[in-house]
Amino acid sequence: MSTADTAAERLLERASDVIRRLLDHPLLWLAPALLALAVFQLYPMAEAILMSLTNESLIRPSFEFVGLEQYVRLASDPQFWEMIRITAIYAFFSVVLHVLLGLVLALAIDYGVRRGLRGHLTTRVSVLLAWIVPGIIIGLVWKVMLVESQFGAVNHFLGVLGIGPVPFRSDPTLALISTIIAGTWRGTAFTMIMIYGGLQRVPQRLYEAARVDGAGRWDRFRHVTLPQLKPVLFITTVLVTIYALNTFDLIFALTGGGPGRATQVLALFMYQEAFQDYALGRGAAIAVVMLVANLLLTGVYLYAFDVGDEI
Amino acid sequence: MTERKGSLTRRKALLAGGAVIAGGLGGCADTGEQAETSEYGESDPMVTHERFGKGATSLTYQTSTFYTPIESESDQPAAAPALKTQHEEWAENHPDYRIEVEYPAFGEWKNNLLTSAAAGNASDGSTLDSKWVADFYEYLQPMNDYVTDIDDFFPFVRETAMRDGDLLAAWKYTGCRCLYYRQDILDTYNDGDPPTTWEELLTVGQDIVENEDMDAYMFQSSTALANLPYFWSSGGTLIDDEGAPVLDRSENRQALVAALGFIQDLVDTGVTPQRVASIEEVEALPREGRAGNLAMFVGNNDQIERNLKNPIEQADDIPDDRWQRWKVAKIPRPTDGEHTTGVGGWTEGTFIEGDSGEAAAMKEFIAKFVEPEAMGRYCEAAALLPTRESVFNDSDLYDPDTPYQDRFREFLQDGVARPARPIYSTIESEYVVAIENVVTGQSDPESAADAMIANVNEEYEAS
Repeated sequence: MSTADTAAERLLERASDVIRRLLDHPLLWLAPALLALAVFQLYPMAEAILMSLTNESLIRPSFEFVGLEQYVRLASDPQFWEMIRITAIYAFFSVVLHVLLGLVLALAIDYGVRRGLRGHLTTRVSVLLAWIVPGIIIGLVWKVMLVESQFGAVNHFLGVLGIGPVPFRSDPTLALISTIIAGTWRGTAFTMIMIYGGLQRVPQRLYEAARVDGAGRWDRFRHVTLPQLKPVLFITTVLVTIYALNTFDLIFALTGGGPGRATQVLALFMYQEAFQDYALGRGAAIAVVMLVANLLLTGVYLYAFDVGDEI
Repeated sequence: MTERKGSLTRRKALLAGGAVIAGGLGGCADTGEQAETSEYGESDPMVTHERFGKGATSLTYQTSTFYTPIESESDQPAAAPALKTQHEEWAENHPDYRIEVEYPAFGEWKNNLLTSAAAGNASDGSTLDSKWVADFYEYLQPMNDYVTDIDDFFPFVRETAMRDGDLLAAWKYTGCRCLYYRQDILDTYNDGDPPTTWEELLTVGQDIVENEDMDAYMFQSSTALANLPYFWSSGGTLIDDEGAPVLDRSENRQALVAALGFIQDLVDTGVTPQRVASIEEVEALPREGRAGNLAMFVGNNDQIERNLKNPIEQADDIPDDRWQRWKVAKIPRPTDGEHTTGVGGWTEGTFIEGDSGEAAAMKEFIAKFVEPEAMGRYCEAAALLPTRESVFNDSDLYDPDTPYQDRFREFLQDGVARPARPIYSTIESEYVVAIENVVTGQSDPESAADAMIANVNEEYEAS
């Protein structure tokens, strides 16, 4: 074998070694996702953070860096704290109702499937239909249903029963409850499908072992189902919390934040600042606050669910 | 479009990038180099839904389907022929140009246009709501050399559409708010006369509520302009000559408290139901009126035709002349106050700089909307009110058969336009919040007024 052949073989071997190492390295496979993440997520996020440090406005050609002024202004604005309160109420009840109703529905469907009962597929599809409709449409549909006169379907029906008219949208408390119910009606399908998926992963032998040990239905649910569902419940709760904290479309269409500011959540406030008052800097500051709130709550859930090793 | 002065900044680059992406996604990107000769022949119509004129040089223009010159595409078909005539006249006088027309979705129109204008990418011309004009001051180009007899416009037009002597928008029509009332009901409860003062309205309203199965008086709580007459009639002023909010001045705060106090009285006495806080659509009140649920409401002048006369005449089970029991009057005022009404309407503006070539062609296109003949023709067909006094005075130019035009003309004399300053959008939203807080009992008039004043001042200082 000539020296040239040996060199070529060595070169080929080295090249294939480099290619193999590259293919074995996770970076190559992660690169497309990382690139998309950087372009479509991290860059806009960095822009938003930078913008929140300015007084940028759409109706003024120039702007300046103002440091943390937008955040200081928010912190000293009583309206902002009132919106934090409303957002917290909305998010808390939304998350609780989403998870509880999702769990109940998933258990019911799971029970139906195991018992071979009819109608479980229709139930799943019906519930999912609400989820695939855009939030703005859901908001408009509920708005029409809740009109406070004979033209509103719900009040018309209540009127037949001699009740009402109920001020679903003009009473501050009822307006907030209406938004929570409409949001839950829409989003429960998501939690149901997540939890139902989780239920399929619970090994049957665990239930059989529990039965052998004399565990009743409640004990099996508490000591087998719930612990097995913990990772799914964690992910579901995190996602539903993010969804609830960032809800904009449904509330915008249903109440527009009113009456007054009774249903004005942070996402709506951000829209108003950025796209009605054209104060991009202040709108970006609210967006950053929402980002921090989402991250903090995710941290809290991670600690509370204690699922660090399981996800 | 001619190039504008100013250096490229990070913001401009981002905005331009965004606009290009948005344009690309929307399939609106430029399709290639400009043709030297026109691609349209003799057989092509001069004016279509998407194009006005047949010239080789194209200009861009955004408007609403309300203002298309093609009847079958129009949301206001009766007015389309008037616009067609107007655009054909322009096209014949400008054979080298054509206008490519876009009809943006209403909800995104203003924001997208503002973003494009900030990036120097706005369309060459656009229709603009009169309340948008102040937000576009930085970008709109003067029209003084193209619009004749500027002094002929009603004063509110000059105050709003002009800045530092420059006419920045061609205000093509206006509208005003007024009191709609059921004549048959007021025949019974107020000797046939509409209430002129707040006290009278409260008294008549309570009589109606007690004796009739209907609500007495409603208004759109979510629309500031429908409710600002209460404030203006109480002697209030929103903004000073420098554009600064002056609500914290004693007389203005007092007027604000009086207006909100009146609204509270309406709800407390049952004259107005609390559910006005959920009324958003402009059609909701005449709908209640047609159903026999409402005796009086504050509405726009064009609603007599659009929401009362036409639907009633089209309904099979109601006598055609039933709409005639609806009459119009001035919005009630405080006993010691003056009548006022809020005036709005739509304008046309151009973003193209210069006075020759494309810029001149676009400015002449825009100016045509406010030529007396074109304005009279359009307003007459669309049942809208002209913004030029001479058009109102000349029955050859404007002689509509729409009901109550003489009354509306009278109301316009008390017309007050929204202040043409950027802070107005904050005032508007805060006023709506204050009204809704009072209506729903979340605040009393004093604290609602103080909260509104504090928020407006804070927004102004921060901007």
